[in-house]
Amino acid sequence: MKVRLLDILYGTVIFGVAAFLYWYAVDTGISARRVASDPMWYPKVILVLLGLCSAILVVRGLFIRINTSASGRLEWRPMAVTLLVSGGALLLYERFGFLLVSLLVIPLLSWLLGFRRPIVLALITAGFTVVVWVGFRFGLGIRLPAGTLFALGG
Amino acid sequence: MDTFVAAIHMLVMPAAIIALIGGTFVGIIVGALPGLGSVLAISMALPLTFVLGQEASIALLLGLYCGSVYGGSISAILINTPGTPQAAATVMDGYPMARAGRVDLALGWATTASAIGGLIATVILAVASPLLAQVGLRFGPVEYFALGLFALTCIVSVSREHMVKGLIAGLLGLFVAVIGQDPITGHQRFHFGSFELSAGIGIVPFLVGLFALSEVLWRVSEKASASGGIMRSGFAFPGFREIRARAVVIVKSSLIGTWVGTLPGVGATAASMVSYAEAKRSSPNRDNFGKGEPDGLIAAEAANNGVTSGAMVPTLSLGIPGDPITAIMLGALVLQGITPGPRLFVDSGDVVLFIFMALFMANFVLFACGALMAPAFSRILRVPEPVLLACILVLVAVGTFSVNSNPFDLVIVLISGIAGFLLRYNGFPLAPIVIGFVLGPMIEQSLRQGLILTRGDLLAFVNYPIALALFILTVLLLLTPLFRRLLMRTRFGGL
Repeated sequence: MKVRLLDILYGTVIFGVAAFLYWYAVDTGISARRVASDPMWYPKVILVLLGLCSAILVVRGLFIRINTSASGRLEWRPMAVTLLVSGGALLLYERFGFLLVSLLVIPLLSWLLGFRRPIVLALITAGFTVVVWVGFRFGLGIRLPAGTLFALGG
Repeated sequence: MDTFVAAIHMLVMPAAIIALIGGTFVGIIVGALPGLGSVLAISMALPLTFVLGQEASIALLLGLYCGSVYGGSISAILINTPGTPQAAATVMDGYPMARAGRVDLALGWATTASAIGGLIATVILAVASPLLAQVGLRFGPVEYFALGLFALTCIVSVSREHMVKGLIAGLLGLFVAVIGQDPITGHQRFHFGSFELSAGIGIVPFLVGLFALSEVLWRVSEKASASGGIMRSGFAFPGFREIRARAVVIVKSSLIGTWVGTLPGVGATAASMVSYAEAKRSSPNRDNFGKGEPDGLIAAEAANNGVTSGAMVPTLSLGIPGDPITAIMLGALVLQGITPGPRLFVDSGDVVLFIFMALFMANFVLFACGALMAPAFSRILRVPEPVLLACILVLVAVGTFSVNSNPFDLVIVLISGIAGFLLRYNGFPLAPIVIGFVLGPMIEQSLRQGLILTRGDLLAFVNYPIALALFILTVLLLLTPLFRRLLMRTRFGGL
């Protein structure tokens, strides 16, 4: 995608977010007579500047020709896979617990990203999981979550 | 004397020694793996600082910082790929040396030059920081506000062709920092009815997501670059006579590194390039540069490790981080109850002295680790990237959750990771976000205290001479790209 198109898109989104947050800041009804004691004055200044800068980005994208592409070619498939696995691992970490997340995520993500040596993968996964568990449990004195779904590890 | 004894006492604590050695060891490995780098190493370690205690945390972070900067040279020498951007200049003579069968000597020079560069820079840090802090002691709220503004624009101004994007990134960081409780009135801001947001955005999940998770996403989406075969590595100490013979280039490069390090936003990559160029200009062996000349390797390595201590000068004495690495260090120090800035030298002299000593020690540890680990370097570089990234992902979850046992922190990691990736995709620099986030509370508080002092008159801020000087510097820095463009246009406009 061309940088100028991305600039217009990013600038519009950031401007929209800044405008919404400004409206939210005004809508809360919190204000004070003196600027220094108004908790919303400083955030509103930041949001105005953010809106201004994003507008400049949009205008620059519309009127100045920048034909370079953004960050070369990216492979979106592995990125989407990693994002899905990351999202799952982070959001379900407390529920699944450390052991299950570690034993699932390392082989799954490595396999999906193209590492196809199952025995090596199994050894690395087991070794890494044990080292991290021992390091946290005995080195740092932190009990890693066992998971509310299954009573594993801990 | 008491301060000195207290600092020594902190340094000889087993936890601090283990953390320093462990940090340097891990830092070297992370630095050696192409693309990971110092920022990732330090942001990944942030959660650990909560459980390690003050001394061990500082030692760990300093070890990681020095180790990772040096580690970049290993892959530069062995596989012609700088492990970190700071080692870009190391490739030019390090890899040809290795190709010529002098891989052990190349690693020996890289390790020796890095350690000496770091040691010289630490001595300068110990001398320069207290002097700068003396000036900082005259600062009140207005001056602090001007300083914060100056720090923010320094980073934005080095965004060069991405000036507007740098400004937006800085403002985003400033805004994220205001979420939660207002420091003066106690009002909740931008919590949208969420209990979790009312406590604000934690520095650990925010930075871990922004740097570590976005790095994982970025690396899997980039086209894999094939590297050549990895040669077997070892360590050969160059010898004291050789070191003496090349003392001028070592000292000069260390000084260049330290000086560049003190300039906010310039960084170790530029330092090693400047140093390499200067060595090439002045060396009697200049014709051999690019063909495996040790002077070239020394210049790059002494300078990039000199930056580590140089960058700590403004960070410790004024509370201004010069780059993303020192910005995260600044945040980590704040988490430990240490507020860098002029008062630090008055209130916590022992901690400051401990930092100097730990940095000094870190360079000896770096040398020992470099020498002992050299035979293993070629094996470290064979770790398959998919496995490495999967392990980092698990560490991100484990480390962040361990801080507060709060699942909401992992949501923040995910959101900031995606945001970091998307911003990077369109060329937004991430450094200003960290600077804005870390300096935001100080800027807001000093601005509002200053307004109370001047009875709400913002223009009265220019009546404070130090603040006025800083405002002028800020404006000049902001206008520098414009001046540069005008100069280029008048110089080449007629062509």
